Amino acid sequence: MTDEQPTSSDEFEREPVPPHAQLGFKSFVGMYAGEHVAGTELMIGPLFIASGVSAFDLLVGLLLGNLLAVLSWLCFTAPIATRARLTLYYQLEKICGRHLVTLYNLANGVMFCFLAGAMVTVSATALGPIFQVPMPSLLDRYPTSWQWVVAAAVVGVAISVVAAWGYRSVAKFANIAVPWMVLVFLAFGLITARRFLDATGTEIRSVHDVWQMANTVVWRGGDPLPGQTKFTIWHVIFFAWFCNMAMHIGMSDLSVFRFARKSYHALATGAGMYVGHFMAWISASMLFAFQLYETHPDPYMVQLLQDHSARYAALTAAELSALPISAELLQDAMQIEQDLVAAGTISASEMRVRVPTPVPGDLAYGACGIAGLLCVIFAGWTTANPTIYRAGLAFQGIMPRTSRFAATLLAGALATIAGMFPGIAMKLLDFVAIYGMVLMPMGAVIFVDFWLIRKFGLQSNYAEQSQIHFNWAAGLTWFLTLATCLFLNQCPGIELQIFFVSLPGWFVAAVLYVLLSKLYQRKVVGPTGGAETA
Amino acid sequence: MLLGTIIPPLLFLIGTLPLDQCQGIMLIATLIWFAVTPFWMGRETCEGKMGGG
Repeated sequence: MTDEQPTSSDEFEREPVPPHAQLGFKSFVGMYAGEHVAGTELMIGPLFIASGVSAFDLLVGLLLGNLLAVLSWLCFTAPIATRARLTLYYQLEKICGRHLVTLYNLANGVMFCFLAGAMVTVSATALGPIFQVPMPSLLDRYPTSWQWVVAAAVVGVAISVVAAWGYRSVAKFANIAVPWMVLVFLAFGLITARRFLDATGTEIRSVHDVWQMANTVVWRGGDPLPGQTKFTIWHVIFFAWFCNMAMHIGMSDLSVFRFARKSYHALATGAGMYVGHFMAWISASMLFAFQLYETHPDPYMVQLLQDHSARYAALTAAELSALPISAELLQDAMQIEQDLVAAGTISASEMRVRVPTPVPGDLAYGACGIAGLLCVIFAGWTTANPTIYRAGLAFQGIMPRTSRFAATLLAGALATIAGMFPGIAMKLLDFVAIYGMVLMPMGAVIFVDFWLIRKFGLQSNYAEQSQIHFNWAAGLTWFLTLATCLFLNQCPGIELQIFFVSLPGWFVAAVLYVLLSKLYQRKVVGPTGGAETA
Repeated sequence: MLLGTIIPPLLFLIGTLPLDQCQGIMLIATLIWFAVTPFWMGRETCEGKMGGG
């Protein structure tokens, strides 16, 4: 970022950004490239591997999904931002009224806290190799040991106090760290590629050899690890498209692009998508793929498979223990254990098959040594810090009498507690999808209100025009859309996965907002004193 | 200085540098980067970094 970076929280909060404060394309390239190299990338990449994604599905899915994300910023967010030039909150207040914006702030603040909690979890894993802290596993949802709780608490409290006291210093540090972090992420991929070559004895003579290795040992496809959702190309496309849904289709980045001289500056988001959500995810996924390749069945698992499965009876113990761990092996071993528990042969407490877990600290240390560990700490810290700060701002909007310091500490406390629960980080793919879904309906409301509602003979910016504090048409659109998404996700016979529900959800929100506004809007008096609508 | 972060992994990839040396050089380059960069990189805010992931 340069000195002419958007500083969205301090300036022009209740007025359009004037021409002299508008910024050029390059300002946004640096900002987005930095924003999307976060600690969470170190969980998302490995979770793709845990979800059984194949090489083609991952590479093509990420190319297409990230393209759709860039187009969403370009076609949804930036055109409104560069015309209205208002913050998201002010734009929402004009449409929805102050009280509904307060509710939106609460939802946004809580989601930010959970996201920051995942970053705390990631950073806390960097303490594992240093202090021998036992790490939670992929299937853990709750705190697993007092050492883990202490590790998460130390990291969370440190981040929170710094966010409350020294936010600006960390923001400056983040700008210095970003170019370095991007290269360390790239180094994760390069180093892991060599380790794969050495471990498999592969010699690369052509692109075909690279593709062969990618398909057979790195992104092998097949079943997901136990407890994870199977990812196809559609999952990858939709995940890459919607993981920042709150920012583009949800319109959070109105606050950023109101500073853009031209709406095409939104193309700068491509820097973030293809550095952070392509290169960084691929590199991070390779780290976990190599961990799986290097993990082999332990003697207990070998014994279990040999004694209780005809499928493995032909293999010797040495052959079995030389196999790389795979979803199929784990499923078979866990199934045998469950059968033994059901038969009363062993008790549930004696079940010892464990699913390999992506622990960012261990993965990064294995590839890049201490520089890798520092990358995990900095990537989590520099992105959790502004996230907690933003959550604090959102809470302060709800409780105006609370100081920003106290509100940030409150947000930090919530994030720290959330960080102690590894379930958020271990189910980060699902959480990110939920995060986008929760805020998406208000983006649809803004889109319809800005472009379409007057074509239906209705009033835009209805709350401002009618001096109301809660636009029930917008509020009900939000709640009913979320209820519809929940229904689509949960209803037997439909069970649309959480990664996909936001697409139909957006159209539901758009239609609902028009219909409910038809019912709700009454004759209002505009600023000129004339009747605006009937 | 950033070259010290990315050249060693490239050399490791093509098989001309062992991993421990690669990691050592990366660490030294990292320390130099964070020690020196604040003096010339006077960039200020980063409030756009609000989410990531």
